[in-house]
Amino acid sequence: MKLNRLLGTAALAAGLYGTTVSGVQAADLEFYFPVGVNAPAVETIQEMVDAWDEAHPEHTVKAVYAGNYEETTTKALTAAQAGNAPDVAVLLAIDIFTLVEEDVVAPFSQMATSEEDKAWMDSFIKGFTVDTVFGGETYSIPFQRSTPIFYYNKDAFREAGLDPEKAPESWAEMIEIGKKLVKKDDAGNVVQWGTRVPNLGLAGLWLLGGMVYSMDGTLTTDSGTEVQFNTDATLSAISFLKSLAEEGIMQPGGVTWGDTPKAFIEGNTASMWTSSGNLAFVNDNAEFEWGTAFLPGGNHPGASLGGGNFYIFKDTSDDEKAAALDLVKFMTSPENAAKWAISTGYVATSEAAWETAAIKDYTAQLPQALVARDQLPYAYREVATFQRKRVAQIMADALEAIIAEGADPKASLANAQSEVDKILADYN
Amino acid sequence: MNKPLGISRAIALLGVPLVLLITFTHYPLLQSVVSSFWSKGTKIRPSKFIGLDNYAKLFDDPVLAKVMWNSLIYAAVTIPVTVALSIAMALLVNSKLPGRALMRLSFFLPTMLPMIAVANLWLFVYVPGYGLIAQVMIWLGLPDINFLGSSETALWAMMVVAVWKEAGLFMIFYLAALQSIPQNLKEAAVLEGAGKARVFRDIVWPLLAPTTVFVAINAMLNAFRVIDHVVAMTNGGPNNASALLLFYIYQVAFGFRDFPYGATLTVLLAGILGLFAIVQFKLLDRRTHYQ
Amino acid sequence: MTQRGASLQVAGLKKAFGPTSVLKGVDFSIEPGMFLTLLGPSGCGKSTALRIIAGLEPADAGTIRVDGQDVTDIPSVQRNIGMVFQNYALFPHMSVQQNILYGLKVRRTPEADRRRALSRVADMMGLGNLLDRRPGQLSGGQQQRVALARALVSQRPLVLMDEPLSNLDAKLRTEIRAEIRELNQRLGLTVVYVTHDQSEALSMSDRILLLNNGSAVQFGSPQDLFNTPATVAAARFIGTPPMNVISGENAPESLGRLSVHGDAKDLLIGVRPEDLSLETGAADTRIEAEITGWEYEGNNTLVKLRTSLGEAVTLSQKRQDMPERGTRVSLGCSLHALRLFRKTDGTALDKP
Repeated sequence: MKLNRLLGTAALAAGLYGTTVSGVQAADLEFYFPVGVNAPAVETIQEMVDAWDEAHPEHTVKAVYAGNYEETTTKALTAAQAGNAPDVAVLLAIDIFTLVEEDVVAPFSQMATSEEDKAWMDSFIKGFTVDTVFGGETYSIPFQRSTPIFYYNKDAFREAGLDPEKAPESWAEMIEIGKKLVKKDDAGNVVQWGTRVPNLGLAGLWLLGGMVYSMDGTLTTDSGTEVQFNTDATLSAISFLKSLAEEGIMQPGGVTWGDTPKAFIEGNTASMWTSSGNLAFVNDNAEFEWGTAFLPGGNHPGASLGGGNFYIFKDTSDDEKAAALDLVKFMTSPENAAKWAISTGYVATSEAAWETAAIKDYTAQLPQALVARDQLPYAYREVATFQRKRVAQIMADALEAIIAEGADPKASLANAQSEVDKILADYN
Repeated sequence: MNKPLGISRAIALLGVPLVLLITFTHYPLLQSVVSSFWSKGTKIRPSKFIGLDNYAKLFDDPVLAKVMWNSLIYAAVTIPVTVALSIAMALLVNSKLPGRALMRLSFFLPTMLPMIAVANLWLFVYVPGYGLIAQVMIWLGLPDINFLGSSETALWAMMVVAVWKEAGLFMIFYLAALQSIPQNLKEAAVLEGAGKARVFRDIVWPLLAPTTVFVAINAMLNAFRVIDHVVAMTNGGPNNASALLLFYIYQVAFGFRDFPYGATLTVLLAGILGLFAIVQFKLLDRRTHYQ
Repeated sequence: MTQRGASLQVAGLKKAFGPTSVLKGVDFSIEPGMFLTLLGPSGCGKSTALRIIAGLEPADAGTIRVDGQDVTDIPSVQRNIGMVFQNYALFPHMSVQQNILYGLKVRRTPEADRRRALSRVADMMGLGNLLDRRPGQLSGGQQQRVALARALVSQRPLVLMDEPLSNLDAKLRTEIRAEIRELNQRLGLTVVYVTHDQSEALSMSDRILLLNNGSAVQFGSPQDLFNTPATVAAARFIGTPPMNVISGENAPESLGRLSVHGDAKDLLIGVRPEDLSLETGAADTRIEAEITGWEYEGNNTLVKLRTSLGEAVTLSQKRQDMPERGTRVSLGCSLHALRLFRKTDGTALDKP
């Protein structure tokens, strides 16, 4: 069936080559995309791509599921270096520095130049566009974006004598409420923790970034060449994170990202800090009443942004770039952005998408989904620099050493700061 | 039929494996050596020749030091434990106990699963709070252990997975070796007054030596070669506590995109493996030919 | 240098593997220093009996006494029995010396005693210059000697041997056969020896226990077994070539006299090939036959014949001149050479 369609399209495309009915040149697009959530993302992408394909019989597009974010970036870069770049790909927003340094992507700001195009590029929610710009050019279009939010078990709140409509807003409240949520068995072992904040790996760093932002700091600046790790804001955030375990509210030691939603569903924790991308999973599996709220913060709420944007690759013909641009516009249209957000739990990236009937129906049924959007004013990009992976790994290692090995925070931060400064010295 | 092969035919026949070997083994290794003399480059900042700087960096890389230490412990523990466990399992299924067909299958099963599936299985075993071990601990009234989230236990948790996965395969080799030991050798020893342990130590174990060398070589190679479980379970963490050398190479080359330094580490790994191979083949030549 | 052998009594020995009954109640008894051979075709139970005596298999029923002591339920090592296995069972990873001394080492015999014991058996078996070799570096005969040395080094009074010569070539077999017999006699050892080779049994033994299908067919001296086989099976198993057995029913008139012992048609008549002759003269009895072929064996010649009644008969003679194939002859033999068996169960009648 798929093959038939493919053959049909190919035949059609071949026919068009011969006759040149319209002025449009046929383009064969290759589109790489990653999946990073527990949701039927591949099917949804394929549906949307097929819809575009049908509307544009002169073009073909092949959507390639390329693994997780890291694998997709690696594949796209490897293919590009081999002279075989995809035309368009969804890659991490913060990989912009790597992609620019490798000189493989073409700026949208030079392709989308009409008034209409500019309006389209302006239609995205501001928080998401910080990640798209480098050196005055816009290199990407926000698409599958996420941000962590606070999920909590309302039944557990009631059981602990807490108001189920009032989630903790500050770190102090988190600790106070968290203590009440902890449940122990007769042997004194915890059967329900107060909360769960993943603190391992890059996910741990992602959440830490939000905490730092709530203390009015940022781990990295917009330049991509500066890290502000060894700061009072970071120390406060780490001190809060450590106190969760010290106060017996959270499982001591490393807390993994992947096990977190399951632990929440299983009742092993009464609340969790995790991506809005888990809304669908929690909604499908929770056997208790649950709510979402802003992440508790220091001075004010704070969260990191994450997820992927559309990039168009440089090494393709102008016709292919034009077709790719059209595909990106199609995929980020309000209706499709809404469809994508609803089926995956990602945060729709334009105001217009939030105005569609589809998303209004959805948030009426699942009001928890609105929290991620409402929190956006308090959200900032995640760790993003040149040599991002290496820099972020050093920072994540330092966090892990503090959490899992009891290393001294001040010394670890200072050490990591000097490591990353050495790496970024080349770029300043 | 016995006419000597013409030189051209000989070259043609040798050529195919030679071309494959050169294309997929020697050339890439050579390429690694070459690229280890260059700096990390991007399109905008091209790489330049830096001589032995990458090798100097090996001695000044705290992550590498940790990873080497981890790999050493990992190999030093998993190899003997795998050998011991696979012999124990082989003895068990080679005995006349009832249900040994089922035992044989269940011991071999982990080997047939892909490492990623095994890793996922063990993620559930290890996860604190509601994992398999945690449930048992809670039932026993003991505090549970954060196996993967703690630097003291993460590497050991990886070793358990590796041993569990591999012992079944090596059991098959030991089983074959056990069955090739003539029964009357053991009887001759029993008649002379040797007990079960003595028969094993004096007769069975020495006669399993060729298999043990083979198994040890393979367990050693796997210790340096198989990292799927590390990627899937801890991603090397916390703070590189469970990172192995090959994992680090993967991280440097494909994560950090520092191919020259990755190549330098690859040369290091190839050197280590080559050294082991020489030592073990010497051992194989010396120790295991009785007949 | 001589040592006392042990006596061995076996009574009511039974063994079954699953539904297969391998030993159906076997009894025998030998004196110290005797050489007993358990003889029989493959599958007769002789090796199982040996393994039970050694303690390598438990018996289902019956008792085994060594020097009067019941050893049926005690572990092998306490039975004080040496054993030479089929295929020698030498430890391939140990030197000849280590092989020989293995038992002494396991039993923690003092070093000096070990050294003395080693030099004794090494001299006895001529292994002096082979002590540092591995079994894989030895010839079959040398391996056999090492296996013997290992069984003898502890000076155990009873030594079991399970087809020890079956892997050797004919010449070596004869040589070592003599050596084993000599050791048995010189050392006063009691030996229980298993073989399927009746000539080995006849040449070495003081006593032979002939087994068939798990039961004793006959127990006695080699002469007893050869001269007065207890059954047709024994008669057919012992002697090369084996005893001719023809049906009494088809016997010639001249054998009519035999019917005093019963109706001739209920009998089988056995006669050894070397007791038959082609003489036409004064033989007690005579059978008409036709020569179908012959085999020259050097010191004698086997003549293959078919009686007028179609039964194959072999004759062994010293004469080397051969009548043509197809020649009709009369076979004669002494009446004393005839052995009579009941057709019903194959057991022997008393001598005619």
